[in-house]
Amino acid sequence: MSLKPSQAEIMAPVGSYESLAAAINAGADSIYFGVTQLNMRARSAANLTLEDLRKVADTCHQHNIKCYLTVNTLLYDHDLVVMRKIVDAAKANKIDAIIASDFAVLQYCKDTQMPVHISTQLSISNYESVKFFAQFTNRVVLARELTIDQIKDIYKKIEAEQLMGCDGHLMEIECFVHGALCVAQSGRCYMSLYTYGSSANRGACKQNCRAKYKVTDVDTGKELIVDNNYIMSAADICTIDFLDQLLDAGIKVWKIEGRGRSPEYVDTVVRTYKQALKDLEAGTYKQNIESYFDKLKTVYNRGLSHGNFFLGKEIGAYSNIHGSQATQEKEFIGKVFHYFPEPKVVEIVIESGTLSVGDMFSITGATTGVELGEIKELRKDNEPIQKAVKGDRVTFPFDPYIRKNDNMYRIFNRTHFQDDGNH
Amino acid sequence: MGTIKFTISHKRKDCIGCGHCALVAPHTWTMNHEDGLSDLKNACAKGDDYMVADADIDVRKDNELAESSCPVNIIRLGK
Repeated sequence: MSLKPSQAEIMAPVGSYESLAAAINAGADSIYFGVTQLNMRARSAANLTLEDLRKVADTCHQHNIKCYLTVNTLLYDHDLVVMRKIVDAAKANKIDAIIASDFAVLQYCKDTQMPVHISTQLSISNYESVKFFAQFTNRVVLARELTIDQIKDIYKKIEAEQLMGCDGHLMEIECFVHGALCVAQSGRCYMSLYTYGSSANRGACKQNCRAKYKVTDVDTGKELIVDNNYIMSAADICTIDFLDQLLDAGIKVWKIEGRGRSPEYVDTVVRTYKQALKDLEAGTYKQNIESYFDKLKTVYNRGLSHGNFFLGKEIGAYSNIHGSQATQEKEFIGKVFHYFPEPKVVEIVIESGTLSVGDMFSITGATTGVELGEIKELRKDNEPIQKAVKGDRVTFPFDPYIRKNDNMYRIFNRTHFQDDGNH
Repeated sequence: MGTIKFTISHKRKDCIGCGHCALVAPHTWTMNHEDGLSDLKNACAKGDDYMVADADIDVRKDNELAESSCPVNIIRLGK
């Protein structure tokens, strides 16, 4: 039986307090994040620490959303003590579950009765595997290589056999519904380690699969003719136009990739999927699909595709430029100097770039999350102006409550997609 | 005449514990089983963030590899 839209859980990626606030404000049902070194975004600059566990958990629970901690790298012997410390700290700080792939973590979570979910890194691709992991967990993140039909078959068997997880509830299926897709099986890739000594499986992927390559026959020197040199850079997953099929396939938890992405990305993607779910419930989903795409394309993407959900029926899509194809870019303007709540006015000193009447902007902060707006009116020394430049102290009206030291960015449409091939 | 030495510095707080330095230069680096991060052998603290040590020139090549392959660029070799 198909799931209802209200049963879906939208899980947002969080790499900072800004993106945590953005996820909550955008309506995420849960979030996932990593701390210290044992997570698949260990190299990301925006990592949280063990000391943040309590604040993240408390913030999420105050907003009635769940929080999950990734401890999903492969582990070496030297990691075992710190792994136990992280799991213990997660339990003590009331994190809802660990997301793990290494069996040492699964076993330790079982021993200490810490709820654990099985990471996509384990590439679970069939019902018997789900059954095996049910002794440890209540939820599996299926492999990103499964088709929607294969997922549906697994779901049907879970229902038919009433497969219960270790906490006595029916096993839940979680899938990545939006974001980056690796060319390697569920991210288990050796390329970055082999070429740079920087292990993807320790959260330090250098992403050299995203570069341009030529395929040359070394015997003859002939190059293989390919219509796109980004032969290993898979386009991003986007499922916004077949959410009804996700529900039909029994995918309860909709995970969004992107712990290294900006708070604007988290805000836009969560908000769009949440809106689409509401529209699905209201019966207005199909006619709005194009507008969802328009929104999703404004933020970081390597081109949107259906991933592997229709493998065999559709050819896998590859990126055709280096980096993002986002239709919008942002430019740092400055930090908020003051917010006057009564007249609802922002005061800011322009630190870089320019700001003009009519400009779109975002303001982000650890408590604020992301707020978007348009400059309707701009004042300097209380006189109306059309354009402000570096060094100007200006004010403009803005309704959402924002805070001192929040960052302000000007948002503008991208007109040039660079493809210099030198990456 | 003493052996020629060079200095190595390590911004340990940013280590992600991948173990690559200990793999390519095991005479200089070891993995700490308590916090999972790498330790520069015989090092002293320099300021809050750095550990520094002198090493023999014959291990320089291995440490150049450790420096260039560190995923978080926290290893620096001096003269």
